[in-house]
Amino acid sequence: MTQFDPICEKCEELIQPFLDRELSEAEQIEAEGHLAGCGYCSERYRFEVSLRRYVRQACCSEEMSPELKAKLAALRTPLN
Amino acid sequence: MIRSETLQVTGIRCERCVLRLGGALEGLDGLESAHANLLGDVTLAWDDELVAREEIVEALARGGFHPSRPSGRSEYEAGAGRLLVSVRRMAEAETDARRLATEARDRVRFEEEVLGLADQVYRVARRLVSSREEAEDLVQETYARAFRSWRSYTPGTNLRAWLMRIMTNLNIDRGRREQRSPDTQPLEEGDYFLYNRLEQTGGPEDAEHVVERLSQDSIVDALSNVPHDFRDVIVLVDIGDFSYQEAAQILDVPIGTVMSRLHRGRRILKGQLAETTVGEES
Repeated sequence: MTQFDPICEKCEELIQPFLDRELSEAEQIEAEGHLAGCGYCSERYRFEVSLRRYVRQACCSEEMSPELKAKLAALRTPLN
Repeated sequence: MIRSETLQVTGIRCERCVLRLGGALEGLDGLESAHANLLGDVTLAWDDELVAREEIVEALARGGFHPSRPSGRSEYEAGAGRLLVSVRRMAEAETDARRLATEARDRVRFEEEVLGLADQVYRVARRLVSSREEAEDLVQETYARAFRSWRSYTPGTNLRAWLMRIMTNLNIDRGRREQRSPDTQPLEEGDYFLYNRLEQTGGPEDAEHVVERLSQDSIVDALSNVPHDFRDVIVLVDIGDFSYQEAAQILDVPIGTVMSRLHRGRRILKGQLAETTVGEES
């Protein structure tokens, strides 16, 4: 593992814009090139992807109650 | 019930007299129509539940037009006279009715569309505030306001974003006064920090499974500890599926601010997770 490689430090900085597809083309190619050869960074990138999915799953598990749904429907303007 | 009759009146000598007769009848509620011609034939139609025949005759008399005798002509023969009253009013009433019907239809359509988004709105609300009760209140207030101000929504634009803007504004206006952000900014670690900590405390594992060491509750807790400004963006983008551009519009901040808050917010979230999950174990 190339743990103290300064390129890895840069890769850490790029992880979020990379996953959000915000990098410039040149940066994107640079990051992809590094990730292809660096197990240390690619592991962490894969972790970040699964973490985002996991956060989403954890935070969307609670459905709204049918009571609230009925209350919302009742807020509509009555038809005359 | 609508009644009609053709009267012969005195006092009509010219076209201007005919117009004056129209003026004499103006404002009589229940008078559906009045036609008059230069021969003195006045054909009236009125709703006898709203106005009596006598009232119409009196109004004519006040204008100087006195019924002399029943017209010898039928209303069809006399009907060629000038239309003076009320068809205009009926046309207006019809336009009004049509406008109201269109508006009611648009409103119902809007309300149904808004209700169809309730699950998504709730999911976002639930993470904007800390308790289920608060989320339910926030969603209800959002819907009450949305239904009230439906005219300010431009059909064809992003309804989900429109609703979220109402909700985030309500949340900022009302709730935030009490829930002040902590004075100290949370420690912000690098993006690899959480993984490094998890790796230190657990055995070797595939990167995709490491995440399962975090409990779902700890994620929810960690997110609720992220300061509002950062959390709002994470919730809109990662839970609400809004683009940066949409999140920027909803929160009324530049898109660059959305990106930087999102990045910092995610780091803070990971820092929190490292503290609560790994911190206890080690």
